[in-house]
Amino acid sequence: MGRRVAIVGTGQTKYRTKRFDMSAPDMVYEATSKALDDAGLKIQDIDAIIFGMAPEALDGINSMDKWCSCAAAARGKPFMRIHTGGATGGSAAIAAAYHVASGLFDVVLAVALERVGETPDAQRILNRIYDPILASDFALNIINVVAMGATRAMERLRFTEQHMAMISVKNHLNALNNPYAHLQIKISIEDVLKSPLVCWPFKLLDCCPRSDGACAVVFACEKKARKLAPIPAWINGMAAITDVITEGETGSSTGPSSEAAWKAYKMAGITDPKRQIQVVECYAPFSAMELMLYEGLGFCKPNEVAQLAESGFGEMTGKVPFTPSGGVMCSNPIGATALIRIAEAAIQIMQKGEKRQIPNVQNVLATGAGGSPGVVSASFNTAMVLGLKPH
Amino acid sequence: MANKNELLSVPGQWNMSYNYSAGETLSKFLIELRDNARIMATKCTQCNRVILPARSYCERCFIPIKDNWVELPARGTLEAFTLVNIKFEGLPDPPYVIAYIKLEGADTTIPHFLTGIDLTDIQKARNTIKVGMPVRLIFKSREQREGRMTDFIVEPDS
Repeated sequence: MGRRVAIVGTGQTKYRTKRFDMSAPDMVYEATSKALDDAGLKIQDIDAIIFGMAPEALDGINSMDKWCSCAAAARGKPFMRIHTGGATGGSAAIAAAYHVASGLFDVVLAVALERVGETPDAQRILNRIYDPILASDFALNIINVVAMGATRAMERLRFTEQHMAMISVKNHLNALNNPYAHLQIKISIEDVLKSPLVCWPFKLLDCCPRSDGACAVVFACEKKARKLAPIPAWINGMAAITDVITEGETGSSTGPSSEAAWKAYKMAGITDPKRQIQVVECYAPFSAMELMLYEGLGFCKPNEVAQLAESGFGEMTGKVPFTPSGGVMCSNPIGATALIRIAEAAIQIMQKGEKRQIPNVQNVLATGAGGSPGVVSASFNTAMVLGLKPH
Repeated sequence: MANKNELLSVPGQWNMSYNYSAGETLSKFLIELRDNARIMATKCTQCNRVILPARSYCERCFIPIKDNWVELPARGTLEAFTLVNIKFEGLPDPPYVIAYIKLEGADTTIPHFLTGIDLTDIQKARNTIKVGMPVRLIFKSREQREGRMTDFIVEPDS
């Protein structure tokens, strides 16, 4: 895959429904300067910038990249914007890693931003990502389309609302340990089950919030990485898989997402994820998605999903903790969300997780998914395997 | 300096008009719905997948398929569904059911509202809808059809 690449620094803003206290460039500046500080770098040490932002109507400003570029340390440097819906942050990270792997750049910054709080109802805007002639008449949005994938998955994988509630409780508990997390509330299974029905099978507490926030990650070549970071997070595997744009065409198979993960596993020398991966930072804005990923990412067989949830497999003290950060269910600044997965994965490898740190981490998987159709089979799927040692 | 606890914001609104072009293949498909109440799909001459709504190319074999039309029956199965129970701004008033439908003979699915379900008791309603249940398409009258996916409704086929 060209030259070795490692993550040497990360920076995040606090995620909230609306950051009244910051303009969009303010958030980009904060995430960027924290990442530079974390890596011990100055603005002149960054060679190029990859900027991630999802649909503009969420923020209400066209081409906000031009407004934010210089807050991302881009003045006088190459800059490009990437947009693959919810996978935006994953694609931005992969693009930054490609830049370094190519040998043309030594230190590249990926920064991603979303201000979902500027508009009262993001789902109305997300209805407009569907085909205006064939699909948007039917009130589709992200919540109800993912809910449709979930009803199908419940049939195939035999999990229930109770299992979904277990995932939600676990993620909310984890978020209490993450100072950047948006939702920081302790909830019970009963709270989830009794929360208002949004789109069957999702109750309110099965769903992610919408957040304002930005995240930045510094990627460096081997020579620089060894100098800059006491423990660099090595990118041992990465993959992006694109699937059809016609909604519902793939139903809700776990195909493309699992394909991206297995491609990244292969690059990283992972043959048995259950044994070789210690943490997963998965892109799962809804409780059911994480259950589906247990199977899709190779941690169990289809008939074992419910049992795995009941065993506490993905809890902080479980066999393979899923989203120690609280995950997408507790913070979702859309275009930045998949980059946060990668930042949090790097934090685990670099042992900077403080209260959310998992001991003895060798390999972490981070995923991203975006652009709709079904649950784990989105239009755009990304996966990245970070390791303590270069593969 | 001014009171630094005061934070300002400026209102804005996006309200722009568009006309979305269907193109040749999709126009033919929509006109068949409107004029003849027929569901026409395109079939790939290489992989034999039947694509609905009709598309001019097969994205897997990467060949044009715009001249290979097949007619599908007005019945199929429900592949996935959700029962929407909250109001989203600019979207219909709840409750309503959205489903992905696979027509008999098609290899792809289409989204649509599922009608003909009693939604007075939400808990009861959600148990009457099953993944895999048969559904049928019922075309509106010729006067009501306008060359859109809403020219027909979808309901359980009991």
